[in-house]
Amino acid sequence: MMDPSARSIDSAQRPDIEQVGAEPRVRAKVRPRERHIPGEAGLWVFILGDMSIFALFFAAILFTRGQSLELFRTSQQELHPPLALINTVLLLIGSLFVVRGVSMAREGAKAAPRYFLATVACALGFTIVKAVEYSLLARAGHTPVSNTFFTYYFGFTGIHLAHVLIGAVLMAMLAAVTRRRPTAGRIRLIEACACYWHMVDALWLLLFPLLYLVR
Amino acid sequence: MGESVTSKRTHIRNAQLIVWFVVLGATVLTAVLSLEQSQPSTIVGVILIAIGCIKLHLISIHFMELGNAPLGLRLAAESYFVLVLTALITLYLAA
Repeated sequence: MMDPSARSIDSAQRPDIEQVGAEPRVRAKVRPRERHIPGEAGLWVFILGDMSIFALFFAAILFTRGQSLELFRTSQQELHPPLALINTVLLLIGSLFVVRGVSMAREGAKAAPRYFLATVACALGFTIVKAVEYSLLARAGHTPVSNTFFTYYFGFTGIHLAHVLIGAVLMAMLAAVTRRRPTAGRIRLIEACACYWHMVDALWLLLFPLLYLVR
Repeated sequence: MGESVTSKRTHIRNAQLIVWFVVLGATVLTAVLSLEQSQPSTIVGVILIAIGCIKLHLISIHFMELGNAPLGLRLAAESYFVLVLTALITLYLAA
């Protein structure tokens, strides 16, 4: 529970949040085109850092592919691109729900939690499809130690899957947070978690073609 | 004033929805085209990497709201995309 003085600091720092009347409550009134950092500045250090680590993963895939082109091409044939495409669509649908959920939360709409719960469902769907994919590969005898391609495949998709699961926990938390009245602090939290989810989605949009499609 | 804010919100929502359909369409289309090709193609590979980076950029600008962020943060993100796109295409073509 935030004290009133903390709220007024929030409203001073965020031009899109207005203090309403003499009441020490804060109601989110968004002026959409005013420039502001989504979430917190510190969050962006984490997001850009995480994205840089994934950029190294992407570079490692293409560099090693250049060293062992035939191995990569033959190993790629063993993957299941339709399942990965289903997962891509699930993450994208989740992102649309998050966009709508953030918009609803800013307006204090009661429907907001439903959008974040729908995103959790997308994340769980992604996890189930990924588990099916891993088990199909394992049945065919492909494991992380089979060759360099599968080391990268299981390693990088596994790290990404961990990000999806963290995202699911954050979205479940947002479903609880958005049941309460929006304050400046809560809106910042919602924006921060939403940005995390979109980052996870965006990274998959590049990991998917590099592992499954680029031959 | 109230109508203006509502109108801007509606405009942003519509823009986000259009971007979402573009990203979804590009994802499905490039995946199908790539899987349909019988022989590996360098041009297709470059297009896949470029479209992947463009989708990443679109999501950051419209969904992560970097389009509305202060210049320093926007520049850091834009530098990331240019660097990643250049590095990945260079590595792919060097193979």
